[in-house]
Parts: sequence; structure tokens; C-alpha cells
Amino acid sequence: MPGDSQFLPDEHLMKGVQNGRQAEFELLYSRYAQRMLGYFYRMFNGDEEKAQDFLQDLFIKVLEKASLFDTNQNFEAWIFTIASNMCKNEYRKLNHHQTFSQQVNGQEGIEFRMDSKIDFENYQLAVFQLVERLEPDKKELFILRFEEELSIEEIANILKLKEGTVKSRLFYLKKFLAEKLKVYDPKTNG
Amino acid sequence: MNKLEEKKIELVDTLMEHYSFDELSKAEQAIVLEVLKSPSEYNEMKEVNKQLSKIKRGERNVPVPNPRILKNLKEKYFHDHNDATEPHAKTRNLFVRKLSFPVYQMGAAAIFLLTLFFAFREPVQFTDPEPIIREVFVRDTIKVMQPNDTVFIEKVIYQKSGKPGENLAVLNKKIETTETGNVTKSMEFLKSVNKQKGFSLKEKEYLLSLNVEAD
Repeated sequence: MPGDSQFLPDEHLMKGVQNGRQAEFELLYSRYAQRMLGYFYRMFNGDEEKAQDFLQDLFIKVLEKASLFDTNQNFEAWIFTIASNMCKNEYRKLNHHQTFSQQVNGQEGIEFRMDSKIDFENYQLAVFQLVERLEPDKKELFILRFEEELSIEEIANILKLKEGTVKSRLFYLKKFLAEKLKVYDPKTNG
Repeated sequence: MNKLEEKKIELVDTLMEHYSFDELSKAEQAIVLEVLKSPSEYNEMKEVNKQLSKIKRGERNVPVPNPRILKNLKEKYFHDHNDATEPHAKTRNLFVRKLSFPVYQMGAAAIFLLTLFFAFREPVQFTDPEPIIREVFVRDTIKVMQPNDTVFIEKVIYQKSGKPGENLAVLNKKIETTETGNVTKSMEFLKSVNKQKGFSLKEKEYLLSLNVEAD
């Protein structure tokens, strides 16, 4: 493996993978395995075994569909699109939609005072717990935007939506979270 | 949701990042209240925005990938673990793996098609076959004659007869034809000349014009 391979962009490494090169694949794996495991882990509400299985299946797809990847496109968006489709298929199989909606809609709002680090950690924990019970599409939107820190454009590509639609959905997601987790800030709320 | 609503939401979202409700202009406040119920809802969302922006990747405790995964993938897709020595071995391995799946599919498809063929084909009828009549067209060679260019036919124009004192001058046909085949000029001149009598001056001039020496 050339010494400077680690600085090569993902798309360049994918060219190597397309040519059957193991070194480039290992480098891509090292860049994305932890992240994608985290994505599956959160999407499946902390089911580690399922997340690990999905991680393996994801990279099998990456290898088997490597020739379909256009190296002018964004690899990150591509791998997240595959992962997102895998989750959608799984949710369709499990038909969890109703369960999630009922769980979250019945929850009372909790108030947090944001004047210490501990409060922020508690708040964050509450957000994650709430997100776990969201409907899969809202949960995915949250993970992609706030945890994976992807751009609106990237999310629109992954979810096959218009950018305007992604912005609106994010807005209503934040509105929903604001209703459920009220943040009390003495500076703004007096 | 229409475009206008999307634009309003986008604007409110942007305002929320920077200003509290009280800091907005009257026009901006009016737009905010078209999208949200109250100023307090705006301020609560502003706080959520602020807190969510603090969340970073990896904040949540997630497990590490199982080392078996990478090992399995390498074993399955990259036959040779030593990358530097035999890169072709890996390429071949990937290629063979890609091939193997379609081969099974193609085999199954072929069997399926054969089954369909034998199941639904028309039963064979063993009757006397009708004689096959085949028309044969034989074409002869067709030669197209091209018209000639100018043709000169020259024959003996001067001959000694062998009899003493007599020369026989024969001016035969001279025919000129054009490309179209039309005869433009034809002259026939046959004359026995008695040497003793000789040629007339006019005949001599004509023979000289043909490079014939007239004795």
C-alpha cells in the first residue's frame, strides 16, 4: 500500500476496490465501519447484534456493487444511501411504524434548565432516548443531520427528496423535539 | 406543502439561528407567527436548535465493529492476504465470484426455457412432406457495348504488281467513327495506275499527303 493512500479521497479508494485491491478496501473500511455501525446501532435502538450483521451486509454490498459506483459521485452519500435502504427494508419487514408513533405521541414533555454541563448531558441523553422512539424516517433524518452532520444536499440525495422537503421535515422535527423536551433558558425566557 | 410555505419555513429556520423573537422586525415576527403558534414556541425551538448543534458525531456510546467482519470480508473477497505480492490473484478472485452467481442463474434460466419449450410446443405431425418447388432464375451474362472512339482502318495503299511497267496503287477504305458511332467520313479509293501513264498531279499530291511515294 502506498504511504500516502490514507490521504486519498474515498472516491479514489473506490477505484482501487473496483480493481479488486484489498488495501484500498481496508482503508475505506477503517474510515466508515465505526460510523456505519453507529448508524445501524441507533437505527435499531441499540440492538448490537443486528447492527453488526447489518454492518457486514453493508460492506458485502459495497464490494459486490463496487462496479456500479460512479467515482465522480460522493462515496459518503452512496454508502449512506445503501445503509438507509437496508434499514427501510428491515423496518418494512418488522412494520414498526405504528408502535413508534404511539410511544412518542403519548410521552409527556420534560423541562431542562441549561445552565450546567450535567444538564446538557442529561438533555442530550433525553434527546437520544426520544429519537430512539421516533418513526424510522424521522429518526433517520435526525441521525443524518445532527449526528452524522451531513449537509441538506447530501441528505436529500440519500433519502431521494428535494432539499426544500428535507428542510421542512427538519424544521418540524425540531418543533416536535421542542414540544417534548422544553429547554428552559433563563436568558431568553426571562 | 407548497413552495411559499417551504420558503417561510426556511426563513424562520434561518432567523432562529441568530435572533430571538424580540430581536425580529415586525414583518419577520408576522412571518414567524404564520408558521408557529407563539413567540414562546419560537424561542423554545431556538433553544433546541442551539442544543442540537452541540451534538457531535460519536457522542452516543456505540460498540466497535466486530473484528471478524473485516476478516470474513477479506477471506470471502480477497483470496490472497498479502496485497503487495499478488494483486492479480485478488482481482481474479473477485471476478470469479462475480461470475459464479450469474452462471447459476443462467443455468436455471436455460433449464426453465427448455422445460417451457418441451411443455408447450406443437406435437410433431409425420405426414408426407409436400414437394418443395424452387424457382431458379438463371441470368446470362449481359455485355454492354461501349461506343468506340475514333477508329482508323488502314489497309495497303501501295503495292507493286510484279508486272513490268505497272504499279498498282490501292487506296482502300478509310473510315472515321466518333464516340457515338456515327460515321463522319468515308472514302473509298481504288485505282490501278499504269506506270507509263503515271499519276496525275492531283493524285500525286494526295499520295504525298499520305506519305506514299508516287513513282
